[in-house]
Amino acid sequence: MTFKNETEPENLEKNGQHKFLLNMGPQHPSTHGVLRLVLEMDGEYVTGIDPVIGYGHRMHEKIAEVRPAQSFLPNTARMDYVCALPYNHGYVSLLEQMTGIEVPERAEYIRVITVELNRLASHLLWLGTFLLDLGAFTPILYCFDDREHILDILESLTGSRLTYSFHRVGGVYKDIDDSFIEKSREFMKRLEKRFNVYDKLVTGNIIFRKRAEGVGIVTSDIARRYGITGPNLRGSGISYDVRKAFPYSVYDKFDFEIPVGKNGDCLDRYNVRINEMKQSLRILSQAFDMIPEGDIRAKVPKKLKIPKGQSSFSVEAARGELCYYMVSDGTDVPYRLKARVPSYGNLSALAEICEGMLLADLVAVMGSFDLVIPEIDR
Amino acid sequence: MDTGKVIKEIEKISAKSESIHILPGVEYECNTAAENIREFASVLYKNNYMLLFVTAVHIEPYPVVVYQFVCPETKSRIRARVFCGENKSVPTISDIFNGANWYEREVMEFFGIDFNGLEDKRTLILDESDKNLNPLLKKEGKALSADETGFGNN
Repeated sequence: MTFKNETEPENLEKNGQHKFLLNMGPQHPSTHGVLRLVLEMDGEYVTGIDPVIGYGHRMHEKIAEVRPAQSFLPNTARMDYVCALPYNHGYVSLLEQMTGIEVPERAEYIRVITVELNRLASHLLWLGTFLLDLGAFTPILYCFDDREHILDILESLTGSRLTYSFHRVGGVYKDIDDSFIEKSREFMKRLEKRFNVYDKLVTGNIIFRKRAEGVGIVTSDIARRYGITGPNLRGSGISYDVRKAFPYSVYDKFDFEIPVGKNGDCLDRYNVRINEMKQSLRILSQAFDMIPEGDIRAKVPKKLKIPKGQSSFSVEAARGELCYYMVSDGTDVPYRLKARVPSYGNLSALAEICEGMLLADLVAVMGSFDLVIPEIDR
Repeated sequence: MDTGKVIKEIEKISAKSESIHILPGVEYECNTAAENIREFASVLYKNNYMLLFVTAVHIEPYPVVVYQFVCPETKSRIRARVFCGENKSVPTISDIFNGANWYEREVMEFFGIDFNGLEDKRTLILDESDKNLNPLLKKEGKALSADETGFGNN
């Protein structure tokens, strides 16, 4: 991209130099974090996008190579801070898979319960900020109200509100009690009613539909070529959810569906996430009914030696497939750890999806993609 | 197309493979020669696979590039490993799976592996000022061999 300061409008048009560069971010409200986009503009239309990432890079993968595997756990929660518990879950599951530690069933249920509550909190935050990006201020107040309840519930169990380190190798940190179950059930009842409010407020709203329908279409081919996962992939009609495709933990015991879209536009991604929240409620209520009594943590040696070899473990985070890949040399310190984060693949497709659209629509697409930048930077 | 046929097709390409294993969570894994990785990726792309990630591991004498693919329809995962040669160069697959562009750029700056044919060779995550930083390469004498890291025997 080059920019030459020609002044004659006719000449500019002729030479294709009427285009200009527009800098968006790293401090821009709709980039949701420190993401910078260098946009090549033709008037109000975006003709080229170059995302600049790495502002929040902390080199988690190197940190993992210099400390015992168990003490890396808090770092996993700091990649995607909006939905941290799946990151805990994936990491401890990988270590259990490699060391062959059996997890008590009650602990797996508690893991699923906390992860699904976290997924709800993450989707509620997305709903509020997505609509804020589109210019609707009211919904975020409703969403934050609901999300606050979840954070309170999780805080009472885990002690933290955002960057949880709750799961442990071999189980979880703390058992749930009756008051936790009662509070959660109360909240679930409340949220079910609130979906009607969101429906009335947003789904049928003509301004919202004009901004979302047919905008930012992700075809299934684009999704495949870029490795888009999660609700963004399911919005394009591909029914792929790690919880169903490769059931882990106790997900195979629950009856739930994978919502999919048809066209892959912003509206489909919106619908998929709203329906996914309803499915999370279904999983939660089944989990509370079925949770068995028993231990919450298996006996694990303090110094956890990981057998030689390589292994990977995938879980479904709120934004898509999170995959940890580890190589071990037989000590308690991993030789190599790779975290495949969902937003990375999702953002890399932005340039192809958004070429030729209005700048305002680009903001809508980014909002519908639910990007968390620190997870991309790692 | 079922997974068995895809694997047969891949086996033809990765004829030089040294070992083929089945691991938990991954249905099929193989070693592939660098010159065959493009054909390998094309077969998977034609069979509706998508690229999950590209990464590398520093083992002696030269780093290994690891590719993981997944097929949403047949629910199968395939992992390929390419052992780099002395020139630490591997052909790019970013024109087959466009998402590989970012992963390859990341591996390039973290491990100093050159991806042949990759158009965009700017740094992605690290600062542009020091292209030879390669932070994920082990310090001298710290890198282990394939056997010591379990690459050769599982």
